Amino acid sequence: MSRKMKEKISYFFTHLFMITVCMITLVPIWWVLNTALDSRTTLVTTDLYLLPQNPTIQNFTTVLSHPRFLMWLKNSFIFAAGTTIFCLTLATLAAYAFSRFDFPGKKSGLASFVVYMMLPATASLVPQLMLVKVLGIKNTYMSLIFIWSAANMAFAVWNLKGYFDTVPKSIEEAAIVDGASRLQIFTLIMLPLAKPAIAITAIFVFTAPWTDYVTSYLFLSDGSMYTLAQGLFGWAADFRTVSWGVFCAGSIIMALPLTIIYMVFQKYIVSGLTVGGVKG
Amino acid sequence: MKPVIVSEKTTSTISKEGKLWHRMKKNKQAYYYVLPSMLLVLIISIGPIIYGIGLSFFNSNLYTMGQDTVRFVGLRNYIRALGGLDAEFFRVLIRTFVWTFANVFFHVTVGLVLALTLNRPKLRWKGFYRTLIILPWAIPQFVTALVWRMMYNEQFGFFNIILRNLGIQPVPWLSHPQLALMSAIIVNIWLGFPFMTMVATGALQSIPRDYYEAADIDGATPWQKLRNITLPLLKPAMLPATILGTIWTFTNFNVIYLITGGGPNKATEIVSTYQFNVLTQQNAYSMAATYSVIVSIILIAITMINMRVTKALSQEGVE
Repeated sequence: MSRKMKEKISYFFTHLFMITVCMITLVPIWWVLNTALDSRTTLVTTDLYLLPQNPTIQNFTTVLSHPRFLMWLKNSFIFAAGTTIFCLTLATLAAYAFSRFDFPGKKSGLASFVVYMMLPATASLVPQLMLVKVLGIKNTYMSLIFIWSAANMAFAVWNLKGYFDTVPKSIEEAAIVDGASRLQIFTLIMLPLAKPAIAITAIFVFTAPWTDYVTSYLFLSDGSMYTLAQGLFGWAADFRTVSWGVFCAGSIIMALPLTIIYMVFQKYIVSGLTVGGVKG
Repeated sequence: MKPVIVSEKTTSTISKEGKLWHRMKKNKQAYYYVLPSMLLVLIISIGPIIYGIGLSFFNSNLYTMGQDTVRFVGLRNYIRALGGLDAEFFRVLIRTFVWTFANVFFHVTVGLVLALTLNRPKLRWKGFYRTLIILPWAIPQFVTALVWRMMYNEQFGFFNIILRNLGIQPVPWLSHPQLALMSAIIVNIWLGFPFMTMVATGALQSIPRDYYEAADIDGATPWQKLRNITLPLLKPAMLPATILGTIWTFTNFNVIYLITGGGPNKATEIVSTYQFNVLTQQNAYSMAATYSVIVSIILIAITMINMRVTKALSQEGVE
């Protein structure tokens, strides 16, 4: 009886501890939602309520009808989707070759990707700026899609190669017997099998351009090319003309899709990070 | 038996180069597959990185480039960065180590405590707690950092409003040098502990229950079980994650830059933001490149330790 009581008390305190931790964790999230859903027209608020006084989605409609916000959203999407498609196309091809062919130079090729992952991207920023100027592609979608793709290439190749390695070779051997070409095997057998791994890698690659501030700040000087990260950074610094409610609504729009994806795929993402991630 | 021997002989008579050429021709397709990604990385990243390393031996900045007086200066930039001439960078480096240590320490301890708590066998609402705890990890760091900056705002921010309502003097979260660093560390702890919780939870779930049952039969105390079963078995998962976390924290840019911008008066500058400010505000290209090279060397050292440790651990697992 007393042992049962003891256990009950110990679980009560465990719950108390967990509830406290969860509340601390949720404070910033609660604050953003509260501010975004509040209808008060003042730019900033000096009093606090647990729930919005007159809940409204007005801030969201303001943001979503704000021409510049829509432009940033569009730009960010083009950069992120373009990088994801471009980087993954090249990476799956390379990963497949590294996994399935035994060609001279394979080991050094793979090793060079590892060495490359160790070099910090910041070391290349200045020369990259010069390169972009020389090529005459400053302020274009292409320039940053190239840069972000290159920055994520090593990670993507290693991650995908790791997955291809786990696919049994017997499946392909059967196809070779049936007279399939290497390209057919790759597109008709390996790619469909690798869908989950490609999806997880795509999430990583998409995140970089979507949330990167430094690169877009350095490489984009034309206001019509700005990304969400640049736009929101400007809004955060300027609460005299942009209300906090509008800023918070914009942040939620930027964060929500990725947050949902990360929550749904958390297990795979964590294992992908610890296996293939050397670089942040 | 016989044909095998013959074939061995014939291959050995073919010259080594011929064999290599033969293998290359046979795997021709592999090169087509690998080439595009290799070329992209070479042109966009590796080339510029090598150029950047070269740049660190010159005196290139906006002024010298305009005057056409760029010249080779040998190791002068390195001496300036690490020697007494530029004590500022040295302070930034030390601060980066403090920042990294404080963050990683709290990430790991908080992450472990929460994972162990959530692993109590009869705890209800586990999934619910876990989901809420993981949220900070799922939200893009960029957004989180900006939001925290607003919460730290001295006039209108959440924290000072609460303090004011409680009748306490508002706190200069971001304008006091030491406090600003602490504020940034708090944000980064909030951002980073969920990852460690997830890694530790995954590892905890893979520890077989019978180990604990056997320990129970032997009359082991909870503390003994923790020290002799749980912690040693968590090590293989936690060590690589910790080293990875160290690299991420060391190179983190967003949190410091978006919250304090390195200020007030460079008091919260860490290597990544310092380098960025040297580059963008002073246009000192060669100095920025020099700092990059120094940081790379530190990171490569950390990565080497990482590989050693992971290798040692995987061998331990094999035995």
